Amino acid sequence: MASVSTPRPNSSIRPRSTSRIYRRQIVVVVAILMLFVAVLSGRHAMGPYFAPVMTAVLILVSSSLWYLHLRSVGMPESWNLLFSTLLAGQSVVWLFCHPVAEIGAWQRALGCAFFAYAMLWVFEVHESETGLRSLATAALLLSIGILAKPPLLICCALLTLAVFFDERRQQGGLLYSALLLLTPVFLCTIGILALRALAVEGLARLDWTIDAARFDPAPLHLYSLPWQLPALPFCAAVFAIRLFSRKTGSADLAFLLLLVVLPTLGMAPWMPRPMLPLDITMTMKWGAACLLALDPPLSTFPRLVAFASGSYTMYLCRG
Amino acid sequence: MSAPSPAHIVQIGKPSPVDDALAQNRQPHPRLQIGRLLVDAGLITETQLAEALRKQVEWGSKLGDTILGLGWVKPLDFYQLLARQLALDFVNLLQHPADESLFDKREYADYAQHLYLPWRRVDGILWVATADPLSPALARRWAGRADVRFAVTSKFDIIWDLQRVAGAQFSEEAVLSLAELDPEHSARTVVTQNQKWWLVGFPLLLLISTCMFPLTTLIVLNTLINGLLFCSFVFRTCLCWMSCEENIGIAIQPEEVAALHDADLPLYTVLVPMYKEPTVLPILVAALRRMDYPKSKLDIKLVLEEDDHETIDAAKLLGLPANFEIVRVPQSLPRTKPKACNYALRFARGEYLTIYDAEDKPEPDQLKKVVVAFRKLGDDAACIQAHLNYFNVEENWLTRMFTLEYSLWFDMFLPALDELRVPIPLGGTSNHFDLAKLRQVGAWDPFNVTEDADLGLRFAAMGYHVGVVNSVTYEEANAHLGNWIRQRSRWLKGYIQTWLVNMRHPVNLFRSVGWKGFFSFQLFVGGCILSGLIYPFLVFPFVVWLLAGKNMMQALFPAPVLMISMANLIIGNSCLIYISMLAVAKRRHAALLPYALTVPGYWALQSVAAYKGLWQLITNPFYWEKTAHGISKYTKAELIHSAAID
Repeated sequence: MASVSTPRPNSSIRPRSTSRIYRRQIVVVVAILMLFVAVLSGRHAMGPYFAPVMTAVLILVSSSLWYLHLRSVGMPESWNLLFSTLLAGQSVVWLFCHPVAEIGAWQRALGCAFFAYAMLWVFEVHESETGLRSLATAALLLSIGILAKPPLLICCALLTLAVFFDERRQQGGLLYSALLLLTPVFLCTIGILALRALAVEGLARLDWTIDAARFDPAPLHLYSLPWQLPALPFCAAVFAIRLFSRKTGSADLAFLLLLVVLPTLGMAPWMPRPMLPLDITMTMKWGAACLLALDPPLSTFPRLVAFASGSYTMYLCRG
Repeated sequence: MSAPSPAHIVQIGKPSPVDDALAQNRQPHPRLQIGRLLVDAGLITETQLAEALRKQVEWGSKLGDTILGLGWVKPLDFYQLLARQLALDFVNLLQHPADESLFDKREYADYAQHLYLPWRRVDGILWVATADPLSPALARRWAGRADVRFAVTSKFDIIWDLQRVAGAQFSEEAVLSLAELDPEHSARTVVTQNQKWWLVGFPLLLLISTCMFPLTTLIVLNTLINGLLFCSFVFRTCLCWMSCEENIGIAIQPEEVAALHDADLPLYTVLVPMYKEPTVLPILVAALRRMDYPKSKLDIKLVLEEDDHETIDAAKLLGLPANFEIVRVPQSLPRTKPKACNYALRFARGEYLTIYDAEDKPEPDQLKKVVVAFRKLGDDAACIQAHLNYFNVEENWLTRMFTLEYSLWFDMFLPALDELRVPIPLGGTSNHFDLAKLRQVGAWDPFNVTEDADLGLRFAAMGYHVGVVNSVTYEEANAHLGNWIRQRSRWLKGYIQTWLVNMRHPVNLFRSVGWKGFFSFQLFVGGCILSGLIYPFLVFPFVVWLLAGKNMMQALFPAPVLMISMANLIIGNSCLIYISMLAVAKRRHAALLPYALTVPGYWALQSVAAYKGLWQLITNPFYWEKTAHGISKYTKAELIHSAAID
């Protein structure tokens, strides 16, 4: 009976999520990982002759995606181009200085590096985001992580538990946290085992962690490389920049832990597929790239430092 | 409270044969306000009057509406006093019905909206019975007519009498209006001629191809179906991943609700379609009484079938306040909820309208949140869907799985679809409409058994926005398997109907909802149907392997076929398990997390329902599988709780 007309306020803007920018970034990283999976599958399907082509594609696409990533977080265009080219250059230099037979090892190392990159990113996003997204992303990444080498997967799983476990435990207990964090990786494992039991060979050709023993080891001389970490200058520079600009967070802590634990765990003789120096180098380099992209330096000097250290890393990549 | 004492009957105008029908109280009280009259008549106390006056200002309503909304006075008593205050006659339409020859069919809607009826013509004077004599609409309609006199009547009498006269027409319109005005979007024709050609031609082609190239056909078909299914799984996972964010969709904060002034709130119509659900009615009534919304601005309609005497009687026994009305839907086919809603829509007077099921428990601030949401979204918003969940979660495995599924659907899928601005298949209840836009699109399709899903699509096709607001309505989950399968088969049948209706002209659909909307419709609605129907075929190889071993399986399924379907089975189930976990984690039902691991079993049940729905679509397309409510032990507890609160 009594319909009171309601004055409408000016049509206000639809509320949008605050972390949309992170969503786009995470999509980029996941896209990189999926691309890696696809390329790896393609490599197996097409044989060794296509490996150089695939590698070139990988370098190009990964550098482009990093370029887009840097641009999305506000890095000036010229610096963005420089850094992306530098990253591509490091890979190209390494590949030129090593035999073609080692391309496979390089690709596997790149996969590990992407995985570490994505995980560090998620840890950082988790700090600024409410809700379950970063946890879900970490859990899903871990399930893709069974393509990476076991030490890295173990490291990342431990870091994930450390980052998310306590918060989730407060909400629902141990079982709750464990189920949320580890279900995807367990389901993936069960899935692969089921496929193998069903004699579905096609999918099982990938570098699954659980399937490590089925693959030929990488060229033995990689093991005899001197213990050097060409990525160290770049890592140290990026970390120092973050430290001095007071931008450090859980991603930096996770990165440091990764640097300490990964070589130890990776070189353990009981590992089914140990980490190679190349794997560690690549993981460190991409981890540092991730830290740089998380919150790029605002002034020229730190950018110059980062670029110079990256160039020195490229020099060291000659092997 | 006693009835008002009889006053002197004062003749107004010439004595006429209808005088005996006019009410007794013609004593004018020009200086007395209605509140004072009510107090003098002993119908309310001074304290109640003071409270009502305070509420009147706060709510921005008329004092009469305020008092009626609070349920302090019986409507009949009130309208008699109103007539006395305005020096008008009171007429009881139940005893002295209107002369239907005076009704103008073109004005039926106006009668229902503005609560008046041409009652009788006596000596050249047209008597108009009205429940709102001071309504500006009434004054406008009859301006300059010297031959018109007004008499007051109860709004219930008007609704009753209008239904008596116009019920058959309203019922026919409720069934046929969409089918006649927009046949392209009506499910009255289940399959069009073109679709029939496809339905015959495609299997025939498949048969020929299978005879000629059995292996290739099998591989191509398998790849195609599994590819679609895989995309559907990935799409759903992406939707869930988007919804992991806390404030996705339309997140209305408590401060925004608190900032609303009750006086600025619009009239809100609440439709409660029911059929043979007398037991659960008190739950909804209690929930609606608890709503944080001015009672004078609630236009609540219990929509009951006219032969459902038990629910009608139960509603009468509840002693409902005057903002509750009973709308009796005449018997006609199809006997569906959308038809009942279309019928009741004729009587809706609000600016917004929502639908609740009989056992629903909406959160008290839901209506206010929706008002804020509509104001935020602007003019292109046509509908706001609230989240649905269950109050009997812990009853058994089925209710847990149902809760898990609803959490997934309403907390994860729909908000993400809203974020993507693609068509949203609305849920069964708690969808809030802008009434004008609802009428504009032709309201519900009475031939579609998931009329809400269809409506969501139609809104999107007309360029309207359907949003999802962060407010929850709790319902009773099906605790019995048979009942669950009946309900689910209806849903899946309705989804197939919706898909068939919208795919009559795929190009038109593509143009109207855009590429995003088109593909999301295929992956979400189409994927839902496909996954239900195809699930047994995915599981079959696995069962063969379990029962007969690897060799038998390899003999039956070529390697590529096996690999694709097994990968899909594993990936699909893994995705569903994990996104179900995320959904209940977001809803903070931690205890349900382990149950997500049993989702594959629940999907097998979905498949049973999907085939039942498909069969019913062929044999009895418009049959509405009634879901029994009030059978949960938790519902009984809710009833006791509601009674205690009341």
